[in-house]
Formats: sequence, structure tokens, C-alpha cells
Amino acid sequence: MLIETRSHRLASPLAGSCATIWHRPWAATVAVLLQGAVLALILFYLVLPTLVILPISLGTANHIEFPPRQLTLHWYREYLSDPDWMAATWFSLKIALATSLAATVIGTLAAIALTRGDLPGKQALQALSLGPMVVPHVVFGVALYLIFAPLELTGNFVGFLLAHTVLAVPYVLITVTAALQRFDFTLELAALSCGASRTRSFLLIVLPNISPSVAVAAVFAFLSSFDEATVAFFISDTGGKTISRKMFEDIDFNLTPVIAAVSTLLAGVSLLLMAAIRATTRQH
Amino acid sequence: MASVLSRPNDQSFRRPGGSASRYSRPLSLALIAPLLLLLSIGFLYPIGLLIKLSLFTPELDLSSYRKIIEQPIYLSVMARTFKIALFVTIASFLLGYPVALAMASLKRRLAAAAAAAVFIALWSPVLVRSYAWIVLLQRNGVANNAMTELGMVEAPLKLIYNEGAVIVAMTHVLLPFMILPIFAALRSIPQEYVCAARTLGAGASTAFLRVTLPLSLPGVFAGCVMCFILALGFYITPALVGGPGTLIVATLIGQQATVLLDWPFAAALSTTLLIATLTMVLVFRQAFSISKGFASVD
Amino acid sequence: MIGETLTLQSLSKRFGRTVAVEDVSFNIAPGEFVSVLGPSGSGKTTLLTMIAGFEAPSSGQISIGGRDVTAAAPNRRNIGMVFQKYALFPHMTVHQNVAFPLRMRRFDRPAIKDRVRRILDLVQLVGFDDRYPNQLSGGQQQRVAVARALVCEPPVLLMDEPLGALDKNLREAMQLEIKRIQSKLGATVVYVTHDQDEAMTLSDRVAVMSGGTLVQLGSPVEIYHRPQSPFVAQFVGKMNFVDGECQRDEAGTCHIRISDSITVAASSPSSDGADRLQQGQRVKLAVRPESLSFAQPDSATAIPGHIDAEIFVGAFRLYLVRLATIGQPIVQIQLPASTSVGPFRRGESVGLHAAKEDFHVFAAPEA
Repeated sequence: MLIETRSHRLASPLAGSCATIWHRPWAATVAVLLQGAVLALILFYLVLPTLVILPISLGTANHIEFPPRQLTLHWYREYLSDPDWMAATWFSLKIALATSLAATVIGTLAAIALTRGDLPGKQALQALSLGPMVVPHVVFGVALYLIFAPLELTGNFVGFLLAHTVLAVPYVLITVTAALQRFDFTLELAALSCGASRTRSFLLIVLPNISPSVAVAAVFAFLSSFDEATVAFFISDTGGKTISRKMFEDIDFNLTPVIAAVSTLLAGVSLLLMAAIRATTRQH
Repeated sequence: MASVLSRPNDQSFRRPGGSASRYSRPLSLALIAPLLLLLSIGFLYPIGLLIKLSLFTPELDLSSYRKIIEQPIYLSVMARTFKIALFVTIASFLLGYPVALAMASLKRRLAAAAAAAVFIALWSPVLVRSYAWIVLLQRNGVANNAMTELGMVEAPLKLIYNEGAVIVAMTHVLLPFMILPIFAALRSIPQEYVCAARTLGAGASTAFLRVTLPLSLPGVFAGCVMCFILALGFYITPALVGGPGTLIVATLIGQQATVLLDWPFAAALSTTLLIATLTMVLVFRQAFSISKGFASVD
Repeated sequence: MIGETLTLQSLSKRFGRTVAVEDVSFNIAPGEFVSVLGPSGSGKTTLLTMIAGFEAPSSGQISIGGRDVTAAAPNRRNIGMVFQKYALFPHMTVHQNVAFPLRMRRFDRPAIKDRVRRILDLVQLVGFDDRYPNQLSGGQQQRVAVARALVCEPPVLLMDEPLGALDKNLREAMQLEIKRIQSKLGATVVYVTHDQDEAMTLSDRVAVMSGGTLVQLGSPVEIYHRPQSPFVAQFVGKMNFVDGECQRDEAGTCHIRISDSITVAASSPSSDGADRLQQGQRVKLAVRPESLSFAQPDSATAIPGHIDAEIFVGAFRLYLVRLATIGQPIVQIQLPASTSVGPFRRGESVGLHAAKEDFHVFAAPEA
């Protein structure tokens, strides 16, 4: 997939874009083949785990069978008809949607204040707001369990919403801040000079221009919650668990191909959403 | 129009030195208030409580910390955490640099193929990938079946629940965080530099070693710092792919908190991990300005 | 006629310790076109942002039509503004952009439609209503910006280097266009530019700024022919400067001695206090290239030198003359390029002559 074999001006990562003139063609070919093979192996390593789950999820056997002898959607049906899996899926979806909404609103407002506002100790505020990205999730998860357990907030929608919004807000802040920094603020001055109030100039001029990035931020926030596993591991309980937590348990105790089907769906959702974001942001 | 002019004025413009290009302080504070409220309740308070629990029971009590230092088993967990983070960082660099180089310098299609591989790895959920490694490496997993069928081994090998598996799986998760900063650094090197080196008589490898590699070092630095810090606090992958012999700080915290219910000790371990991470972030904070904007995992 | 008076009284703006604008006062009559001319960093844009209300002045007062607007928010000043890069709203069509100020003032639909149509007609953009800014050329975007600023018939129109992004030919065409629209509507205009030709072409009066202060305010003719400081003299048009020394005769008239043997008479009334010059005071003698002509090198009133270079510039021919006196700079002389071959060659000795009213005398800055 990576190697053209005929020409001497082969794509060599070392050569850069300067056309390389090799004096010993066959030695060069060997060098390029070798580099290409190493690269192909690394790329194979990168995609292997994601690619391996799809065929396994389609296999008929009860245990891991690769490659599958016969294809079936049995495990997907199993997933869809299992009330435990469905409960976890809906719980995760609910949390992810609410998290996305909360984090996008809170993060966007804060991004505006941090880029455009008159605030004391701006740098400290910025550092603090990115804190949840830096603190190891296992530490955060244990800390949350500590306060949630006595309040009976484990396995609770509000508890998850709080935890996941804290984790998602930095992504929103980074994405929206970047958009605000790209936005030409003379447009806002122009709106003011046209007679628009602060509020109207924000709603009519600033917001429409940063809205693609706000939408991207909302998707980031959604995925960060939907795929979140560590904190969910600590603050779930039998009454309420996310799809990640359910998967974690089943991997440990009950390794069936249903997990492969769920994994395929999870990876599919993530990759499709991210690919959509990439495709739309490239157009602009 | 006169009525428009005579209406009361915005506070921010009346203040001498006020400016329309900034939002007034009361407005700014109102905008950031929800975030501060959220972080106070949902972030600072729980972390603060955790730190307090590690120190007071309810009087000042350092026994949990003493336990970490005095019991050899916990010291060895610390050492293993550090060792695994280091190995993962080195492996990520060795595997990541060629990919970044390929993305930056290969022809369009090949570079796109490399970028697509990185994209798929980066955005597949960590839990999904950890599961995939189990499927690949377990006793009757894909790798063992393939090797047995090809006659490479007689009996299935023990490939999983050991340090090697943890390193392989963690490297996979952290590799994109190494590749992207290096790629960003490589892409910012003007191609003329390499061409200039070539016209001045440098061979391809000399040009690479003397021009491209040194200029990409800021990206390498950023990638290594990111990988190392993330590896220190990793939970999901080592918890699933590792075994009893591969306990690291994060999984030890999980075990103490959920299985043994020794909360003060879990809190002390968490505080230690937190301090180690924050120290590294502060010491190497310049690395984050280079790799700003990359999503975190785990 | 929509224009109203704009009055600035001792306007100052400090950012921290740096003074951006210091004690600027002037009065602009209704319908008057005033350019604020100055190099970058002279405070001209800061002055404009204060009039617009984007920055509050540190001290001083701004009034429009007699009303004090110093503390009014920008959206309450009823000012039209054209920005340097137009600042058209990228997500709105031409029509929506131009209608925006009307919508903000809650005009009803038919009135908006009517006003937009009329102003687009005035800027000759009928039929472009549904285009987006990125589908327009630079000149068209410029017109939309002007239309948006004028659609509410504001008493004062501010323009911040509005032609800076256009190429030379388009810029000149747009200058005439702006002048046409402005005189048709009778708008009061404050026009910030660093381009002296633009300021001269468009303005009734030019305000020259330097280092945050207003250094001269006058008609283009005054600014050009009677500069009050060496800064204005060299910033507006081309100017030769020669060092000299004031020597008074019996009648008290000041003559400028350039070297032991050369003395010229200067009587330009504009020059900054030529009467107040002391006997023997060091001065700068200034003269425009087009005011100089060639005379016999041995003529008593001519300044001797020899030609260093001859440059054909199209409309005129430029000569660079090295003066005979050591230490003097090279002087530029501009002659009509009426003949295919210039009258002088390189290296030839010449004398330079100018009418005495064309010499400006400024006290030399203290060394």
C-alpha cells in the first residue's frame, strides 16, 4: 500500500520533497523498501485494534473467532434485546447529550469572558479551567466517589452530568477560544457603530460567525462524555451505569462477542462524528 | 434619532479609559461565573476533600503517606509506574517519529493514508481499544490462534496480563499524542532548509540528521512530555490488559478504593499522583503551548 | 443635507503611560470633509476610535451637533463608520449588511427596502443585493461599506483608511466616488489616512497629526504652501532641506546664508516665525522640488552645484543636484518633461534658483 516499486524516485520519508537523485539505484530501492515496510508495520499497529473488532462482532462462534467462518448480526440483536445493555446505552446517551449542552453553554460563555473580557487574574483562571484535562482521571474519579457516595449520587444522572461537564468544559473552552481568536472583532465594532447594542451585536454578528466551532465543541463534549470510562467506573453503581462501565464489567467477567458488537458501534459513532467534523471544518 | 442619543449610557463607556473592544468587568464576571461555580463544586471541592482525607483522620495523620514510603511493595508499584511510563514514552517516540515524518513529507496520498491511521487510532474509544488488545492477545486470541495455525508455536503463549501487554496497549493509546506535536513541528520546517542542505552537499541522511531532526526537537519534547504525563495516570488500559503483577499507581488507587476500601490510603496515593502530575505539568508547561489543543484521553 | 457640526475639545487619550492623543481640539462644520493625516503611530486612528465611541477619552469632550456625546455608547452616537478592511458581516448579503443599521433602529420593512434601494443606487450597486461579501471585488465591498455607513444618514461619517486595501487605480477612482457621494449627501466626514495625495484630493481641510498632537489644520493649499513646521513640510509633498544661518540686513530683513559666498533671500509668510529669527541663528531652508529652476552657475542669487543624476518620471524629469558647499544634502529639482532629452547632463555644473516666496525658513532644532 505504501511502496511503488518501479521508479527510482521513490517516496522515501527521509528524502523530503527535494527530488533525490540516488547514485546506486538498487541500494536505494532496498532502503526505500525497508523504510516503507517499517512504516507499514507501524500503521498496521495503529489501525489493528479498531479493525479487528468488526469481524469478531460478526462471527457466529460463542468465543473469539478470527477470521469468522460465517457472518451474522446475532450479537447486535443480542445487544439490542438485552435490557441491561439498553438501559446503559440510554443512560449514557442522556448523560452525553445533557453534558454536551451544559459544557457548550458554560464553556462558550467562559471563552468569551477569557478572550474578550476584563477579568482579574486571567492567566490563573485559564490554568484552572484547563485543570480537569491535567488531573489524572483516576484521581478525579476517586475524589468524586468520595463525595457522591454519602449523598447517594453514585449511578445518578445529576452526578454524572456534573462529573462529565467538568471533564468536557476544557474541550469547549479550547475550541471556542480558538474560534474567537480567529474572529475579526472589528465586525463587532461595526455592529455597534450601526446602532446595535452589545447583546444584539453578539447574537447577530459574533455568534453566527463562531457557531460552526461551537457546534464542533458540542460534538467534542458529547464524545468526551459518551466514551468516558475511568470516572464512570468509579461513580456508577448497580442502579445506574454507563455503557462504558457495563462494557468494563463484561470484559472482566463475561467476555462475549456482544462486547465486540458494542465496541464496533462505539468506535463507529466516534469515528463518524469526528470524520464529519473534519469534513465540515475543512470546507471553511 | 435624538431620542436614541439621549438614552442612558452603558457603564463601560462612561468610565475614563473604557473601551468597546473589551467587555466590562461585571459582564465578564457574569459570563465566567457558571464555569467557576461548576469547577468549584465539581472539581476543586472533591479534589480538596480527597487531599484532606489523605492528611486528616480527623487529626493530622501522615500514616498513609508513611505506608507508601515504608512498605517495599508500594515503592515497587511507584517504580513500576515510572518504568512503564518511561518505556511507553520511548516506544511512542520510536514508533511515532517515522509516522510523523511520513505525514509531513510523503506525497499526498501516502501522507493521507498515514494521517488516516493516526486519526482512527486517536478517535477510537480507549475502552474499545483495550478490549481489542485482549481479543488479540489472550490465550485463545487472534495472535495465538494465528501463530498456532502457522505452526510458529506449539502451545499458545501467555501474551496478556503482563507488563509487555500493558506497554503495547498503552503505547497504542498514547502514540497519537506523540505523533501530532512532532508532525506539527516537522510541517513548520520550511522545505527550503532541507533543499539548501542538499545543495550544500549533504546526503539525504545527513540533511535529515543535521537539519530536520534538530528542528523537530521541540515537537519531540512536547510529545514526550505529554506521553509521560498521561502514562503516569493511566487507568483503563492497565486495569484491563494488566494482571496482578503489573499493578501501577492508578490501578493500585482503584484497588484500594473499590476492593479494599482503604480510603485514606487511596487518597494519599491519589494526592501523590496528583502532585507528581502537576509538578511535571508546571516544570514542562512550555511543552503544552506547542501541543495546545490536543484532546486528552483516559 | 444631513451633516452636523463635530467639535473636539482638548481630547486626550493615554494608554497606561503612553500618550496616544494629546490635547486635540477642532471644530468641523456641517458638510465639511476633513482628513486626519499622519504617519502610523501619530494618534490619528485613536482619535477616530474616540469619536466613534470605541475608546473613551482620558480627558476632553466630543460633541455632535452641539450635543455632548463623550460618554455615549457607540451604538447611541448615530455615527456612520467605514472600517479599514470594510468589516462587512460575512454571513449577511449586501442587502442584509446595508439594512442592518436600519433594523437596529427599528425601521419598518417598506422603509428599509426603500432606503436600501436608494443608497445602493447612490453607490451604484443595484442588482448586487443578494451577493455575499466574499463574492464581491474589493471596490464593491468598499461601496457596500460606504452604503452601510450612510444608510441612516448619520450626522457624522467616519472613515478609517477605507481605501488602504485597494490597488492604485481603483483607489483613485474610489476617491472621486467618495467625494461625489459625500457632496451629494452633504455628510460631515472625518477621514483618516496616511496618504497625503488622498487627503489633498478629498478634503476641505486637512488635520496633520504627529506624535499624538495636531500640528497643523488648514486647507490643502495652506498645508502645502504654508507648512508651519518642518514636519508638515516634509510629510506633505516633497521638500528639500538645506542648512543655513540667518543674517539680518540694515532693514532687518532676514537673509539665509548657506555658505561663505551664497546668501538667498526668503520671504515666505507661512514660515514658522521667520521674523523672530535671531541674527546668526541656525535655520533649515526648505524648498519644494517643483519650485526650483536652473540658472547660470555663477549667478549671484543661484545656489551652485552639479548634476548627480537625471531621472525620467513620466510627468516630469527629476534631477538630483549635489550642492557645491560641503556637508549639504543632495537637492531634488523637478522640471516638466516636455522634451525627450533633458537640458542638462550628468556632471554638469548648474545653479539653482527659486522665487524668494518659495523658500520656507524654519528654526533649526537645537542640537
